[in-house]
Amino acid sequence: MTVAVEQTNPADDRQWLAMRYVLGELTAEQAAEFETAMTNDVSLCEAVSEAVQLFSGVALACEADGIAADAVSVAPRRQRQSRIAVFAACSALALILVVMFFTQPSVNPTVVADHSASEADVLASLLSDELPPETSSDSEVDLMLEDSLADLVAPEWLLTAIELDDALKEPGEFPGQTPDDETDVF
Amino acid sequence: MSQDAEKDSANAAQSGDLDVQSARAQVEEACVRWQTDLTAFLLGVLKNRHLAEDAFQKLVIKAIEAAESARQETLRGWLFRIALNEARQIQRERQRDTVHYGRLAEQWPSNNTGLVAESGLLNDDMIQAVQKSLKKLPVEQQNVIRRRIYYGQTFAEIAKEMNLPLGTVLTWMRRGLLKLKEDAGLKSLVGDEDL
Repeated sequence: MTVAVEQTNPADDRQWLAMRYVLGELTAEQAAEFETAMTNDVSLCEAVSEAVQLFSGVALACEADGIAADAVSVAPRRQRQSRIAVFAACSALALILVVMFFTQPSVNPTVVADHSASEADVLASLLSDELPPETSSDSEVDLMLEDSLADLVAPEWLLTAIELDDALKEPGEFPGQTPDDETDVF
Repeated sequence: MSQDAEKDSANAAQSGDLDVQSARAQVEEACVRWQTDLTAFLLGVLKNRHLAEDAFQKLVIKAIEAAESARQETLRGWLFRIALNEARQIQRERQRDTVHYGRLAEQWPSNNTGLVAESGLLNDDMIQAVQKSLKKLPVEQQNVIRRRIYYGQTFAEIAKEMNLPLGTVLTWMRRGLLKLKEDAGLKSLVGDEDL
């Protein structure tokens, strides 16, 4: 298995080291070593100077031609985070409003009015169906009584007693018309 | 001492004064000629525009004071060494100040480009040349360079946002910058005439 290794030359390595030094990418120890090396090697100083000028040119070029402004998704992280935060806040607020709208319908006066009107209609119909005592018809009560009496069967002894009673109301017709006479009968 | 000897001594002294004045004039001229390179170097070391400006002023004064020890053939390197010493002196002073110690670690800020821009090297032609050179690069290299240098994002942030390994981002940055540096259009403008 072979691994492709990028061929670099020492000059490029020195340039890249100087660029990283300018960009602040070196550790404190590496930066100190690099500065010590610069005291003995002026070419490193030249490399630093060239790197600064190159970076300045790139920055000004980006600013001048508006490449940076047109770059997609290259916005600084802080701006992106603030946009996300604003979007999240608006979404949460909208969600809360929607939830409140659907979970608390009584808050809506229109719904309340409709609901109250429907309830009023139902109550009115109930009231109209429930007749007051004075308005109830006697015939209906009689019918109910007749129904209840229809189920009753008068016993034989009761009918006999009634007939006897009627007979007692007509004196002379039967013997023992008075209660006192009854003893005589039995 | 004979009169001839006195005359020779006087002539030598006068010649020495002229040499000193000449050396100081040469050093002063060199500081003006290489001001951009030296201030850019100081900015790269100090990473602070105002400190770099102060350091350059001190560099000029010290270089003129020590002009007698300068040699024409090594004048540029000699100035860079003075600049480095001055920058390191300022760094040591800042390190003693604990309030500003954290600033030593600050990374390349884009607003420091103004110092180089004001120095006059980066004129419109130079900026246009950089634009052209930048557009010659692969898009991904342009993107990484722009994010790091113009927006000041760290490589870790770039790798995260582009969903790439950190090593890939560093490789693209290295290749892109080295290509820019070697670009013929830029080289023709910067040139080596100052060297």
